[in-house]
Amino acid sequence: MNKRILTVLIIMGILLAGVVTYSYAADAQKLYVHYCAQCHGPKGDGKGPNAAALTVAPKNHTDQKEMAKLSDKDIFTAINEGGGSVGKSTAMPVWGKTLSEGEIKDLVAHLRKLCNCKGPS
Amino acid sequence: MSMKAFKLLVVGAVSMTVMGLASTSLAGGEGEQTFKTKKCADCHATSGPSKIASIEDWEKKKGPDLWFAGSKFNAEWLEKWLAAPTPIRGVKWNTMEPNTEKHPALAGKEGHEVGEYLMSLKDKDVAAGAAKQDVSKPRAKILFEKKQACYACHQVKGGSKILGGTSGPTFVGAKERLNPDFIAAYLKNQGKYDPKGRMPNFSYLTDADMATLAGYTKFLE
Repeated sequence: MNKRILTVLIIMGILLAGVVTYSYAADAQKLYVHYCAQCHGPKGDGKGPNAAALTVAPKNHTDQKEMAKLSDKDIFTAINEGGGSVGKSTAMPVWGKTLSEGEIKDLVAHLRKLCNCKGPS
Repeated sequence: MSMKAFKLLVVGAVSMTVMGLASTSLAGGEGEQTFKTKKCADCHATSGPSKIASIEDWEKKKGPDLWFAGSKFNAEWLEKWLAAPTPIRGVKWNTMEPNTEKHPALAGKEGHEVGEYLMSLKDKDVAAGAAKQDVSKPRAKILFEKKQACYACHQVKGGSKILGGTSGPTFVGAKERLNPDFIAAYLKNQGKYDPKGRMPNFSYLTDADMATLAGYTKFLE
């Protein structure tokens, strides 16, 4: 009996983890396409509709080499406080009054998925 | 007072109220009627503020809200634009694709009446004089193009060229199109006019910077 309960609990845990992961991925992707894609492009390759007009090209979030130079904190701050706060272009606006801390953290994780990379350790 | 007299009084008061409401509705007149028959309301909300609370809700919108149109636009521009609409956004609504859509045109009497109707839709929070009157153009330009990110999404004229991003409404010709006081109100309380819209919230700007950016509108040819 205990074994059965344990099995059910494990299955429920796996299902729940799947739901949570799915929900995060869907929400972060939605935020990215809604807000970030204007400059960074829906695919994250830096080719959004505004890109051609900008003197500093929007970051290509799929560029593993470039993205690996940035820590998660660097990315969080750039989104939260704008490009100017990390010595980058002021064309990258402040998103901290639009997005919650949790949403920005989700976006940082989404960027890590796009580049398939980690920041410097 | 007898019960009969009281009842008559109540019936009279109710009738007058209903008639009053009906005449208020008629005040929108032909323009409001045309707005309905031409199905403009399928894409544009004329009552607000919007209750949109999520990106999913925002994505269901088919066009910008117009419940504050009379506080946002200049009447002369609006009538001209309705007669011969040209794209205001570089990207198609709710996409990142180039805007190739043709907005239906309303010319002549219809256009004039719809224009009048839309200009009757005012928002009390758009305060006259909120935009700075004596704006220094170079300082405002630096604020718009360098210090803040406005330029990244909104096009402006730079000499004979058109510069700036296309994901937001163009500011080429904003001088003719927009009421500068609306820009001040929008920057102050963006969530009221386009909740969950794509523009970042600039409520962190100082009142002086908001007033300056709003005042800059009059230079945007």
